[in-house]
Amino acid sequence: MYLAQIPFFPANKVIYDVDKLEPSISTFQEVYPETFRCVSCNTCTKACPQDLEVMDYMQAIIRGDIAQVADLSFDCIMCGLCAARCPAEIVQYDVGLLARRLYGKYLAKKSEYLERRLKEMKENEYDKEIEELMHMDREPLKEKYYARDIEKI
Amino acid sequence: MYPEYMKESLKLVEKTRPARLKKALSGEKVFTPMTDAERKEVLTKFHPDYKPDARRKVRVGSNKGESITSEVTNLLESHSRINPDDFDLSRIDYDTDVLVIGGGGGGAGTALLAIENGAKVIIATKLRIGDANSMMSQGGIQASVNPNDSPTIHYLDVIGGGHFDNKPDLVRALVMDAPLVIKWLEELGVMFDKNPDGTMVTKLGGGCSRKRMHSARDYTGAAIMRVLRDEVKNHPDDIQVIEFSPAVELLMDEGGQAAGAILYNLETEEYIIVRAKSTIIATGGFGRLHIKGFATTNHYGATADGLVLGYKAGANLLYMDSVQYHPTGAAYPEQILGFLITEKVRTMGAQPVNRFGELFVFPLEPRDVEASSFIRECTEREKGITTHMGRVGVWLDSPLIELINGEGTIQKQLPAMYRQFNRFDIDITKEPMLAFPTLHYQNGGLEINDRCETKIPNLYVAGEASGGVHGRNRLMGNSVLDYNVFGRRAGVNAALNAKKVKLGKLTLDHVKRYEKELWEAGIRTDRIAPILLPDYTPPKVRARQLTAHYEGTLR
Repeated sequence: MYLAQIPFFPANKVIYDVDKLEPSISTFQEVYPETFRCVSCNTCTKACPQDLEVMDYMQAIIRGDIAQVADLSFDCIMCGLCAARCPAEIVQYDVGLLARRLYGKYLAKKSEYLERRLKEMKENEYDKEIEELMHMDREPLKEKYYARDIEKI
Repeated sequence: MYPEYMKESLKLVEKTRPARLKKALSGEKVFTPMTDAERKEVLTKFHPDYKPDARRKVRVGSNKGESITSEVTNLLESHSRINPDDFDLSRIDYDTDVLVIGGGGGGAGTALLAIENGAKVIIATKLRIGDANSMMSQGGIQASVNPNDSPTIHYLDVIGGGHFDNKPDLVRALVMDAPLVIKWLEELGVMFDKNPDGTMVTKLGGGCSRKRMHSARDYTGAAIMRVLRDEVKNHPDDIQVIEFSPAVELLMDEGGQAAGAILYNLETEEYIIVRAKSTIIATGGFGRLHIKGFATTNHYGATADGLVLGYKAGANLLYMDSVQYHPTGAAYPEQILGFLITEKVRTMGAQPVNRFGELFVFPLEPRDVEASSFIRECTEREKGITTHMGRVGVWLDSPLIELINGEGTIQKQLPAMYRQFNRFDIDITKEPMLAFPTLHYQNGGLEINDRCETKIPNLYVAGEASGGVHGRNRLMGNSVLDYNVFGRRAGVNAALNAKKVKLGKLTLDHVKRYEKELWEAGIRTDRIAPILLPDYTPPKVRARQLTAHYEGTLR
């Protein structure tokens, strides 16, 4: 086994701040403009070891459909084989990752349960109960543990 | 497609499936869960931790006299890779606020929080950033978010699962920070599975009393690691990543403070001196020590380096006698031996059956109990399936998942599993998988408090390398939570600490002292540690390597 220093596939990864980006096609025009040079040759799809529809999700970017990009590119392991062969010099996996981050941050619906729980914790609602458990002796703690009711699958 | 010699057994599995499916759909339990006494029996007779040679007393260091996992004892009773006299410590190559040793999820999270608190960071990693167990985890991350759940209930689950040995302040930190971690990850752009109304999809995990496992299909670890890695790369001015350069010893100062580390460039074989005001060990687990000869789910670099570094500097270990074996590691084909088959597979209905197609255990016992019963089925009861490579395993009847939840379920919710086996022409929607327990997680580690501090000033630990959070047994989904919670805490505390630290004269005397201790304890060995990478050179090949030089496991 020969350990070779193969760096992460040399790629044009752009520095950006997701807090300042918009979840829209204009972001890609700004950050990864080479995306729009895609000639639909399908070499990326053929190279993908995860059998992803790479060209399809690149075309989805060009259409501005970030949700579809996120869905189609999800299983990407960022191996770089697509970028290695792309005649338009696009780094598909970086573009896909940006789309997924934008989707997760801005487009996915927010959980009201999460917001509620965070508010409760800010107001120290659980502090006392946890303190109690922390100072409980082993035997009463064991009893409490085995008496838990377990939610059904 | 399975080979011809397995076809007979597969036919039996197909034959018994309709009856098992019927019982599963009827709502009654498919098998009687074990009583406390039955659990104890199967554990003491079959769990690898209970074998007489599983543990050995360590004869040096802070935990001297304690019985810990033998392979770890071997690691600790080894010589240094370096000779301290060879080093001119006035020639410093890098000088920084925070040195993070380890480029996985814990290391990345630490770096991000450290720079938010004004520190400059260097991440030194043995392979590339992101090459870690964090990338490989599948099932999910626990957090008490649902209305019928609370951090208090989560606390109970964690401490009970850990056999009540967990450190209370660490468990509190884990469960209280959990909802915040989910929010933080979402803000960074991680795509968690969601219901149509926006609430997170949550599932039940082994040993849990509420559904609180958040997931991103079955790529949870990868989804999180990809985003954290991308964000680290978005700060090149504040976070410098040095790849292929593992730490081989910690640096200290004459006042007994941790002061950085000596790195070893795997390609050029240069030793690099990094001085740092705060040092964080985030080196992950020990799967590649192949404890008791088991295959592992861990990545190639999981060799417990951080334990060696911290121990030599004087830090102490906690619960280093407990090893977690995941019940379902792949047993066929040989190329993916030991790789993880997530617990979610059983949560969704797959059943472990033996060579005759018989279900032999309740599918969702706690991991140690489940693993022990698989081992019993294959050894004492001789009802396992043996492969041509000499591996043994039981079938995990995955087609049941499609039959119970509807066609297309596996492709949608277990895409990583589907792809992993499809590569070898095995369609898990139609054929079962062959599984056997595999070495998975380091339950203990370097002891920390809830600020990630060890007893050595300026030395912090976060993630799998730390001990005390999970007691003697970790629950599913709490490891991903662990490195996020404690990675963040280590980052904040290390950065704030760096503002006040004044380092004295640098020294490697602790390495010399440790060597002396080894000698005085009567330890004579040619082992060196950290091992950095495992060596799989077959003995026949070794015998022909007449002029090769091995430094430990590295050639």
